[in-house]
Amino acid sequence: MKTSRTRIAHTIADRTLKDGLKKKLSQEIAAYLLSERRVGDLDSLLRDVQADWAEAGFVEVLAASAHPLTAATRADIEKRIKSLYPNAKRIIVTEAHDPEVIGGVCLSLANQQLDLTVEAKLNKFKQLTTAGKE
Amino acid sequence: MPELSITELSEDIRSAIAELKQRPDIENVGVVTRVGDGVAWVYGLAKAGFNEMLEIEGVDGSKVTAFALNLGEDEIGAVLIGEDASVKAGAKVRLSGHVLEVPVGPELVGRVVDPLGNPLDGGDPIKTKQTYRVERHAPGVLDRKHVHEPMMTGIMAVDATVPIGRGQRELIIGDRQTGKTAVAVDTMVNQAKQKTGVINVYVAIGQKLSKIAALKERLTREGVMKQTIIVATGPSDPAALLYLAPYSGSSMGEYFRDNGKHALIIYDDLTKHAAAYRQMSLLLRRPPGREAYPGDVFYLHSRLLERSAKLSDKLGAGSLTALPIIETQAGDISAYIPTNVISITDGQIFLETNLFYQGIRPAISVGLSVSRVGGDAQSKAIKSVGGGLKLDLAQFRELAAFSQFSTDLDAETRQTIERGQRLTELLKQAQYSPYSIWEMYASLYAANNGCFDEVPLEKVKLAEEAIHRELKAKHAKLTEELNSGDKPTDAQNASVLKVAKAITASYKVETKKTDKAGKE
Repeated sequence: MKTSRTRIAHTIADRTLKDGLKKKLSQEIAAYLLSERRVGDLDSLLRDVQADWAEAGFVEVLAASAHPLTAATRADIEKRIKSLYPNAKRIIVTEAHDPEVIGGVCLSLANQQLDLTVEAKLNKFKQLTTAGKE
Repeated sequence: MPELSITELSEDIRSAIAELKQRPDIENVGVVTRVGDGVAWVYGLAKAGFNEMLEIEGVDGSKVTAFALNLGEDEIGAVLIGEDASVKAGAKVRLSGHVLEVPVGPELVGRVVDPLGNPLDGGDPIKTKQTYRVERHAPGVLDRKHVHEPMMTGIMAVDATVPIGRGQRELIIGDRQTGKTAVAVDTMVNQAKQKTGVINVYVAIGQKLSKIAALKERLTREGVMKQTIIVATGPSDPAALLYLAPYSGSSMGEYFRDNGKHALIIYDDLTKHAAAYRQMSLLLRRPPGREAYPGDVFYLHSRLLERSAKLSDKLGAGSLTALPIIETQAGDISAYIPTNVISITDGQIFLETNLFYQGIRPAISVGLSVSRVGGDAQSKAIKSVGGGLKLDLAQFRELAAFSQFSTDLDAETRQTIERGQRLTELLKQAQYSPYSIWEMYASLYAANNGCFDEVPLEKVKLAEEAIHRELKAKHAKLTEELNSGDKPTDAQNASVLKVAKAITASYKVETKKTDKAGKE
């Protein structure tokens, strides 16, 4: 019977939280996905693993912004993440440069997103002003 | 807690997958346990996907293609596309890892191909840049737009009473030898004559090869073949090919739909398609249901016809219009497959044997034919004159039936019958001679205004032709304007009426003169 993606993610998360990232584990996962013809599931699987890590206290967040983050912004982001995951033991903020967001920051977690960018606000404004006209 | 990074984990797994893919692979190999009637039973391919292509080693070293349709716990049932004579029990079977794909693109236009895209016309091999899966999902709700552009058939009875729009599915249904294919072929011819740019895809399902050859020749002669693809399967082809033909044709048509163009697909006919699927299903030991068809015979046609659609502007506003054909037995439209396809499509053109033998051709039954979405797509010019036509004809048929019992009719009834007879005469149309919008408009406008009322019945068609000739020769600008399909102005109407009255009067006079001469 096909093993569910969530169960596979739990196993990967448990092993990585215990032993860290090992090449052997990656190879095992790759071989399993190939033999089960589930390579297409990889992106979803990694998101599930990330969510499991976050539940266990290891929160990795991707912060997309048009300009480099200041120390104050980083601290603010960590504070917000801490409020979201009170049990977080380690918060890693990875920066991504994206000029399209114009200003502000967009925080992406495994299955959550907090969009505080100017682009999102403009889109919302456009939606409100043009609603029902098209 | 160890240092973790999802990006690093992702990169590690991806590079491991790439490395493993380069290594010589252990193949999944199955064995044919039984074979016969175009079906092979295979043991040992537990990971085969539904509809996945399999390669079977033939006795002479050749490879026979099959596709998996029955995925059982112990064995799988695969339908052979090629010859089953070279497949023996014990032959090795390999998974191809992909589902069936067919070549698509403009390179196919003007060609006759089999459902796998191989040329059957003796021409060069077809090399296309793209392939599409044979089984594709139909566009979703947001990908569609309502049907609003006309797909003119050039047949006055259809365009005036059951208009078809681009992206519509209009069923052509009737007994054998009632002119079903003729209606569909005329629609193809009209696309070439009116230079609409619509690509025709004609899917012949189990049709006699001589009939397909004759059709190809005729389409070439009419200049239609240069915008037509014929997907041909004959009665001697394996059932699997007959089953695949409409799906392949649909994929070929979808290429044009997805690229912002317009295509017309004709499935001739889905009754044979259902019979081919029934044969495959029974050989695969699937439980038979009503009329021995399998339980999913509705889905067989619904998923096919749902692929014909009008796409949204965002997706290029292309369209695929479908004209499926169904053959009935003794006019019984309540049989299993006809009712299924009637419920799937957006209307039907019903052809009657009685009308056909009365000389009313195309033998379209105006009462039973309907177009559920085409009204919005009808050009304004035709709509303005065709509006009451269906009602007039229905009233005429009812009164005509009564009039057989009595000769004493009041003036009004007689008038309705006379008008109805002339309208019926006008709707007769020869094959391969589709009308332009202006021709239909002129005929119907003249008829609605009583121009033909005094013309003897046998001369109605002659008078109509004379009106068309006169308008074409002396009012070229007017015909051009009417052909745009916009609602005609009062001045245009007056011009048409003037010509029509003058012409029909001459026919009336001629008749009287002839009558007098006869009496003398």
